[in-house]
Amino acid sequence: MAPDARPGTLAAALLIARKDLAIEFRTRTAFFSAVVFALLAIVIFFFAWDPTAVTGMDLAPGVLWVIFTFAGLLGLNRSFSLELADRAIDALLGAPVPREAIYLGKALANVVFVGAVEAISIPAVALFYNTPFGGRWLAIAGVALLATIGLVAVGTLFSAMAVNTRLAELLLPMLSLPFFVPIVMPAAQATARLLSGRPVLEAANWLKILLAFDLVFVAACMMAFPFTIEE
Amino acid sequence: MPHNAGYYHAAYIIVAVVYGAYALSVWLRLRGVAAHHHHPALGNGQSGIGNLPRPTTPPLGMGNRE
Amino acid sequence: MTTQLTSDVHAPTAAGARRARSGISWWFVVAVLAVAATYIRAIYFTPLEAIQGPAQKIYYVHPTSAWVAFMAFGIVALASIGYLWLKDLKLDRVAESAAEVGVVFTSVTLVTGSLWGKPIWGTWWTWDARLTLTLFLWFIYVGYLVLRGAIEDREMRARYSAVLGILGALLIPFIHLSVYLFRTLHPMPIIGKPSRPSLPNEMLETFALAFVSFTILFIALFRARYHLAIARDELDAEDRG
Repeated sequence: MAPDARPGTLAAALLIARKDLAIEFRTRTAFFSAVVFALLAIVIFFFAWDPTAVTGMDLAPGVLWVIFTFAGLLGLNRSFSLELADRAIDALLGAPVPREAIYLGKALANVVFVGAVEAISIPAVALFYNTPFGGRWLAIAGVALLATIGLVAVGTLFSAMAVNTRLAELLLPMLSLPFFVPIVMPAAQATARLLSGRPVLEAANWLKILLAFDLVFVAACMMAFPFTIEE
Repeated sequence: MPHNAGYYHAAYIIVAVVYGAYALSVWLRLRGVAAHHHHPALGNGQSGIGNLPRPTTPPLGMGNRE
Repeated sequence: MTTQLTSDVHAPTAAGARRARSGISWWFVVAVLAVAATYIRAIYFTPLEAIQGPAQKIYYVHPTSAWVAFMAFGIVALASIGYLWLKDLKLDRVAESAAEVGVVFTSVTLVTGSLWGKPIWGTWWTWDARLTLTLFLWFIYVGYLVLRGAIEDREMRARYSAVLGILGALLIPFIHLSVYLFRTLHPMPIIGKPSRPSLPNEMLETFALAFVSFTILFIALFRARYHLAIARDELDAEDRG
């Protein structure tokens, strides 16, 4: 064995992320399910909407972010259930890989997964709700990225815990949703301001709390993760 | 002065009833655990909310009591 | 094995059996007496508030329950940190007990807050900062207890609960900040919340009595629940062994 064959944390994380995404890409069922769920939800919200009471511009941010949380939960659910088959997690734990790298890798894969669902949902909302995003696509993508990092940071950790319990499908949303509120609220507020053409700086104020949340919880969840897979 | 005494009556009653009921539940569970010490065949409890259905394979040692 | 709520559960003699049924811990006796005293004082010996009317008397039980609810969660958070650090199951039992008693106090806080809000503010619910925070506290508590109920392995249950306890504590300031930002940017209709003039002495004294009484009640309930936790763990250990 070559001396110092242990990959560094970041390299290991990227390897793990690639592995997860490769598995996901090969089967694609989870991704399609999440996308179809998101699109269906967008359509249902449309039919539940009274356009004379609320304009598309007012409705869209809320719809977007509610859908992201639930589609995100669908994706997060599969993140660790992948490892249940044949106790694949044991092989992962046996490898000379720092535990934090497993967390980072899984989280990275989840960011890509949830990000891909969002990338399809956002144009869908713009289309179905007749709310042109103007030139704000990039800014909205930025908000979405920051918020997704927060959602995934917390959701990945809880997914690791929930998969070891009897009530995994119930527990993951039950534990995660309170944590999603400080993410969804600033994200929806920022998106609303961006959509209605307000100066980008106004939306930026909301991003501060998003950024703070991301910093605190990515660090906290990364530190907590080894406790969830101790043997 | 508004006539809203009903609200605080309801509140005081609820407070007393809820804390009393909780105290009772702890006491009853303590007795239940004590009963299991005498009747081990009754099965295990668990901490947390409620008791979830047990897995089908019972842990070793259950039933082999004095 | 002894419990604190009843003095001796193994009652081999008739006298012991009688003692078991009638023995009650001192904390409990004091708590019940104190709460009863608070009630009597609040109902009969404290003046009515002219503007808010009799419903103002909820004030003696609502913030006191709220204080206990948040304090209990502080205990959960500290015990969780302690458990992850020292791996002592005693700390996990502390967290478990504080959480269960805490959720009861949180529920009472929400209900009494609602009963207070209707006559005083005109609405059963408002997204005011404290009520919202209490609501989230309730959700975190419930999630914590459901998580505990869903894990059979004793050590994993302790570990996972501790992680959730700590993360929940981290969440609280973010919820507080979110609600604050939300409300400053979405000014909610001022629902005629009466300003808090300094309370006359009798009201302050009743409030102080209520504060102390419900804290003692928390301690009594916590101790009982803690002994239940010990008893249960002993039982599970015996069955496993």
